[in-house]
Amino acid sequence: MRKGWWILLVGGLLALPGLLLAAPAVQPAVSPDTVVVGTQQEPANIGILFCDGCTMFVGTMVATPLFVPVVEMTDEWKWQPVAVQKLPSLKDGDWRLLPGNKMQVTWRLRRGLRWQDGRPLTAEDFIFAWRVNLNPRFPSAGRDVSERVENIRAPDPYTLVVQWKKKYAFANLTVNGVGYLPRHLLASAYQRDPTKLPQNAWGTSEQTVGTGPYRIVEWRKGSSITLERWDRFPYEAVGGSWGTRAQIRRLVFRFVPDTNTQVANVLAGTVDVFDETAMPFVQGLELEKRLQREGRLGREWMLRAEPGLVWEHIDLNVDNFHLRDKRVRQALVYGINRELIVQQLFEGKQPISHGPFPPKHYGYNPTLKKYPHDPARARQLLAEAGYRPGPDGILVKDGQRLSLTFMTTAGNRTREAVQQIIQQQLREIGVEIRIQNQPARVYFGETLPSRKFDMAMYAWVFNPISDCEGIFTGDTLPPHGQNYPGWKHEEATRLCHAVPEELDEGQRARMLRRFQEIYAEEMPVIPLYFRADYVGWKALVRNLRPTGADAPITWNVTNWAWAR
Amino acid sequence: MIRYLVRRLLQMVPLVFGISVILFLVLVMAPGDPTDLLLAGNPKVRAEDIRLLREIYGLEDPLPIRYLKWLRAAVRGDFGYSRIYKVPVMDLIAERLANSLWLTVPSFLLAVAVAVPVGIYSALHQYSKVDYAATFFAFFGVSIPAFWFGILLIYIFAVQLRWLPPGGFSTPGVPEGWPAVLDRLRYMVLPVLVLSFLSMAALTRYTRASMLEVIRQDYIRTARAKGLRESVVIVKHALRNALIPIVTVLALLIPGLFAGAPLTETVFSWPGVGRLLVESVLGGDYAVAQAALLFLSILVLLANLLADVAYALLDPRIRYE
Repeated sequence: MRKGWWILLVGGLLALPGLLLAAPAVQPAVSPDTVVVGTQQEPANIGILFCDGCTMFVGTMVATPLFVPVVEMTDEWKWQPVAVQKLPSLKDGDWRLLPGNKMQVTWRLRRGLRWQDGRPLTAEDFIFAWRVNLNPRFPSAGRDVSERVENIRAPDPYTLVVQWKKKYAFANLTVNGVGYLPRHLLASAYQRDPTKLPQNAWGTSEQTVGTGPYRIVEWRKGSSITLERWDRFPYEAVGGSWGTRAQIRRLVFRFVPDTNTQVANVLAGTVDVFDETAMPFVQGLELEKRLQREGRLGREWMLRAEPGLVWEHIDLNVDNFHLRDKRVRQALVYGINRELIVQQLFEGKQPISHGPFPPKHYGYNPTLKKYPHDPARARQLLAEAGYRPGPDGILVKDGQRLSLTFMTTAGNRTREAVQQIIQQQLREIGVEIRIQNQPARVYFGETLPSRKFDMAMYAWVFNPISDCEGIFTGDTLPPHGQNYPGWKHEEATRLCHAVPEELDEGQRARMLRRFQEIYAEEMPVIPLYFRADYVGWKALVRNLRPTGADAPITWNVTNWAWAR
Repeated sequence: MIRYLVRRLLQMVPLVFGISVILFLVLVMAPGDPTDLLLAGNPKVRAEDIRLLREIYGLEDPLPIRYLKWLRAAVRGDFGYSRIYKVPVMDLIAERLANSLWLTVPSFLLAVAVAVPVGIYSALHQYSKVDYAATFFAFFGVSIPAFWFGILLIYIFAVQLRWLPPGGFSTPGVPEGWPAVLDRLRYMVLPVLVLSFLSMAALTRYTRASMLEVIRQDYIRTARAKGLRESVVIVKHALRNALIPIVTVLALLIPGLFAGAPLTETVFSWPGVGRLLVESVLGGDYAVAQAALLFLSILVLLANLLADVAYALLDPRIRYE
């Protein structure tokens, strides 16, 4: 009898997981009026103005439902007006060129928009934000666009006339480079001490009054932010995707710092959506395979990894004895089998890049010079550059071995794996690679700005209108910019400075394409691949449309709904 | 005893001062500073803006001035602003500390409630099956990393069985009152299990060793020879003496629970003071890191004092003057 009990107990325990797993798992994490979004980081500040460092992206994700945008970018990378009646254009005359290379852009705000405390959203809020952002005592991480604006006038509360000091190509996508702030709530704090404005309760707590279809009701530091639908939002007064009445009553952003736990949250169904910061690509890939294996992919969870605008690359220090010869730089690219790397590590889901811009970018050059893996060509180029094999197989020129330090952020497993493969591949063409990794803080804070490297791997985060200014211009070496390779090319510098001032998109694209030709010939930076990050949502959540670019998944949040 | 306590507390003042200097230097000497992250990934941030930020964070002053400014404010109870969370450090730590207590107090009680009786039983029944089992679990508990054990529990109880949430602090939208309490309890189960299991292991071994040492003493044999009941021998004579070293371990377990919680809190997404410490060190949020570390140091000092006082209460031979 006793033995029988044991068998029943053990058998029951073993069968339990199976029974429980068979239970319907496809259901909302909390309730059908709530969507729980799992994300790794917590935003420092959800004000639309100040973002301190790396939490910028997640801050935008939380801020988007709270603040109606001026214009929005769709998942097809198209721009449409939201808080304004239309995008200004040269053709319609609300974007005018003035003598002396200046411009004037007129914006008309839609009437009926208001702050969640009842005050109307007016032109004054835009002018206030612009003034704040220009104040040298205000700690801003992005003044470059605001500084291009000479003056802003408001002939009436719903019209903004923006005077630009010189031509700026994207003046139809931003009013003032910064957006708007609640003047009635922040003016006195700002006048007291502009340096303390980022610490204001507005932007860092439940006291943040927004203008969007959701308002913030709870912010548990370190745990979650809860937004609730603001039913007085004037849907009829906005454009773009914002005209639909939000169906989800509550949005919860839950911060899960450990990515393994995030995966567990997805498998257990305790989050409904996860964003691109939630887990590293490799973990997302494993999750996808697992859900596929268990027959849950597509039925319970939708996963998508879209190659975007995060560009992994290796900066080459062109002041290095070896690397100052462009044949050596070209040889290194020929010597690296990038196709093999992306196949082995990412199953081909992160495509190799041939230059800084991805194929979706308006300035992408499809006829760019490509560097397929060709060790013979690499050896030939190195021989032409005067290198001869030394006693240990490593090439030598003028008594100097072709030995280079290769740095990246320590602890980043993906980058370290890429590094080891490259080390092995370059050894085959006679190049010695010495790996020297550093913690991110030292690497980004000291090593890169002081250019103490031969080869440095990291990523630039671009956006759909990014250009090459500041990275590839010969006058932007640190500390005046982030041209870490130290590459100086007269034509490239001229083109990269001219692009942001060229109003004709066709002409701008031609300039960027020419820049890429120069880049591909000179090869100051080895292009590796475009990063893709996984975004996922329960199959029952409708209308989630990730952009694969810098717009957060919440860009069309009013369209989200649970399937009935 | 009172005089002793006052003397000890006064002695702590220069000690805390010394600790604060060391902490300050260690944090400041770590390479890189909070503005570095701004540079990474943002090609258009300018040198002047970085300088302004450094000025606002007070990083431009010479080291002694920075320390003195910090000390002057700290004495008044002002530990500055958190750069990451944009709130006063003390508010942040107080909130996180309250959250941590939800984990540490039950973990501590559970660990003591299980480990002490098991340790005693193990000692009294040395080489029995229970002793072997307790030894096995103790070594298991001491050897396994907290994060691994946490993930294992999450996998079993949250992913496979779906009995408990895989992490977090509470379910959004649960009404106040009993539903909220029950909800919180569900979130507490796994992290409390992990935290208590880890301290339970060490405590079981200590109790067993301490008890084994005592029950071999002459006075225990004497007590038995006098014909006292076994329960009286064990509880009144053996346990009371065995408890003295255990009390030290118990007292020192308190800061250990706070300091050992970062991994557990991270794995279970629990917004406690341990996780705050890790985040602040990694994110260069010096004001928070400095205050949190100082708090932990003070906790260790107080725990030591507590152990000494408990010694005196348990052992009549010890008198503090």
